[in-house]
Amino acid sequence: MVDETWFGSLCSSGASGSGLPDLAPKVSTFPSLNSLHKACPGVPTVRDLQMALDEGWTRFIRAWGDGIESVFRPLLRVLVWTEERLLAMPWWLVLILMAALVWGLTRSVRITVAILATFAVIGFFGMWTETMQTLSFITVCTLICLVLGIPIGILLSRNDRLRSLVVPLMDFLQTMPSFVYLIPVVMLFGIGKVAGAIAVIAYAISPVIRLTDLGIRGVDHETIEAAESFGVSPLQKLLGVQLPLAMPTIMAGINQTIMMALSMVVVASMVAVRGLGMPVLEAIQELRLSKGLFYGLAVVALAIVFDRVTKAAINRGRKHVAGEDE
Amino acid sequence: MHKIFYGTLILGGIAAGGAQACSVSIGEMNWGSAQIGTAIERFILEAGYGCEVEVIATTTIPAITSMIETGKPEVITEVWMNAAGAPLEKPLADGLVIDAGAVLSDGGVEGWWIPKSFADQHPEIKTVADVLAHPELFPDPEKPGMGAFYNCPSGWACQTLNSNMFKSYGFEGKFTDVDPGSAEALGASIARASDKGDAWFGYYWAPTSVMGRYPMVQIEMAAHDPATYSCLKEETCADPKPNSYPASQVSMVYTKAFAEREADAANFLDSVAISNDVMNDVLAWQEDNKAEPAQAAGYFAVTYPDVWKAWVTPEAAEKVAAALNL
Repeated sequence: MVDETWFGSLCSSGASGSGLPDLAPKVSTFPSLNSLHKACPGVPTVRDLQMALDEGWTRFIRAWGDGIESVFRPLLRVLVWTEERLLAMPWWLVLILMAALVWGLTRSVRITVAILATFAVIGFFGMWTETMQTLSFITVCTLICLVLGIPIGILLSRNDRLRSLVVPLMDFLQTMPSFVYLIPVVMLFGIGKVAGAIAVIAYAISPVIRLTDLGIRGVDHETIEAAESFGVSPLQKLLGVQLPLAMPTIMAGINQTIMMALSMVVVASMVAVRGLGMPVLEAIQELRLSKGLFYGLAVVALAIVFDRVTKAAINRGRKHVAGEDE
Repeated sequence: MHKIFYGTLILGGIAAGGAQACSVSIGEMNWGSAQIGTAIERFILEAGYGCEVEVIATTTIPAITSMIETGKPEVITEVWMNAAGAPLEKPLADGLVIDAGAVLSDGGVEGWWIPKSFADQHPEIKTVADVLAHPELFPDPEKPGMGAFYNCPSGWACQTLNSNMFKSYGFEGKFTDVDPGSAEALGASIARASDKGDAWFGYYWAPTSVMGRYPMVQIEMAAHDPATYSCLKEETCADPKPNSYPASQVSMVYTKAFAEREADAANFLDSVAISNDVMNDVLAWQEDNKAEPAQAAGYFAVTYPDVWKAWVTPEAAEKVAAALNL
């Protein structure tokens, strides 16, 4: 009853309905805001809400767009620079550096040779340039995920309240269809590498955060007590005990982050990120099975390479940790 | 008046649909004018001709391939013959697929555009040569010192045409040929530039909702020359010559089997034609009101009854008018 005047004024004061004729077969019968709007013009229609949101975003971009863009300019520079350097390198130098890196991480002749062979096959099939573009893009995105994700994971392992805020946010970003946040991101940054990188990072950063948090929480209490009894500072405890012991779990998170970043390659190409995703999109447009398959397999090959290298590194790390424990 | 409307007109459509055994499957293209056209045709077929209409949401190449291979969809409402007509050449020549004539009576306009807000600030930019002389006005964020030309997405026929024209006008080395990756990203890049009052230079086509919502100015190109134009369609074109787009024939096509089975419906589809002025008005109304295609179709049906009445038999016109409560 208290509401009556408020409700009455709301209903009489609103904008009048647009009364759109609608030629679509009506299926849904649930009373939407639109039907409430008909009874009471003060209630906004769904369309009114959407338009308000869109206009708000446009105003935000006009006011802040240039500023935010300049904050992200270094990211663009890094992405462009890495791609240019990698493309400028002769192929044999790339292979040598790759072999050195893989050997350093895995100490496995088998894996090193297999990876060199994979890249050779990619080269033979004429996909070298696209593979290098994807390699550089994914590497930069993954590194950013690590630089942001590991500290966030450490913070989450120490602060339950923060964790209860960040975890749902990560769930949201992972489940929300990526094109939904690609549209506002593209409106903000324009099409290209920055928009693609933000989409990839938003999606792929979760595992490294989650598993860093899990790894540190999972470190044996007795070990920590032992360290504390020696009077270590919190920083020494983190760097000397918790992080090394959590490293195998964190590496598993890094592995997952790389895999998820690679799975976003095609989506990133939909906002003009060059690389293996572009020809896949082309193949869909041209309905060319072979082209789609070749470039799709190149993405899979990259994923296997990253996976084997990180897994071998994890195993070495495990042995290392186990060795110290004994 | 409109509020009573939509319940009634759906009932009308369904009631008429039950009476006869006419059935049509329509492939709806995923852009503005085609969606509105499909909604209008669907409604008239249901209400006026008692057809049962199945609408399949698709895009040009998959729809054409499916039509040729499986006979479904039976009708494709909008095929841009310049851009995507190639796979239809043989079936049209063999008579398996029939060209029902132009659905957009003025033809589609393809070309290179800049935003009107930008053109107002820079009245000196009118022709391709003016753009070419000022790459600094259209900066490519990923390639400092270069201008950006926003091309068609990967795999579209117009991408090859544009790239060849890009070469023929001497843009290479001054502008980058940006592949936006998807039509959505291309549209979003226009929206962003127009919202912020920034520069933008690239390919687009009209009538489209993007063109309806963001006023663009066409850049003057060389006169269309059919003699040198066919070379531009080839990726391997050795010596592309400056050229421009002809008005694109935008046709509806349907299968021979459909035309033989549903002669009345096919006759109606033959006469469907909407001028660019009317289509732009409907698209702009849709954008301004953030309306669904079916609502825009309703706006069209109410605002331009003389247009659709010319397409149908007098009996069908009466039935449709009755269903619309006109």
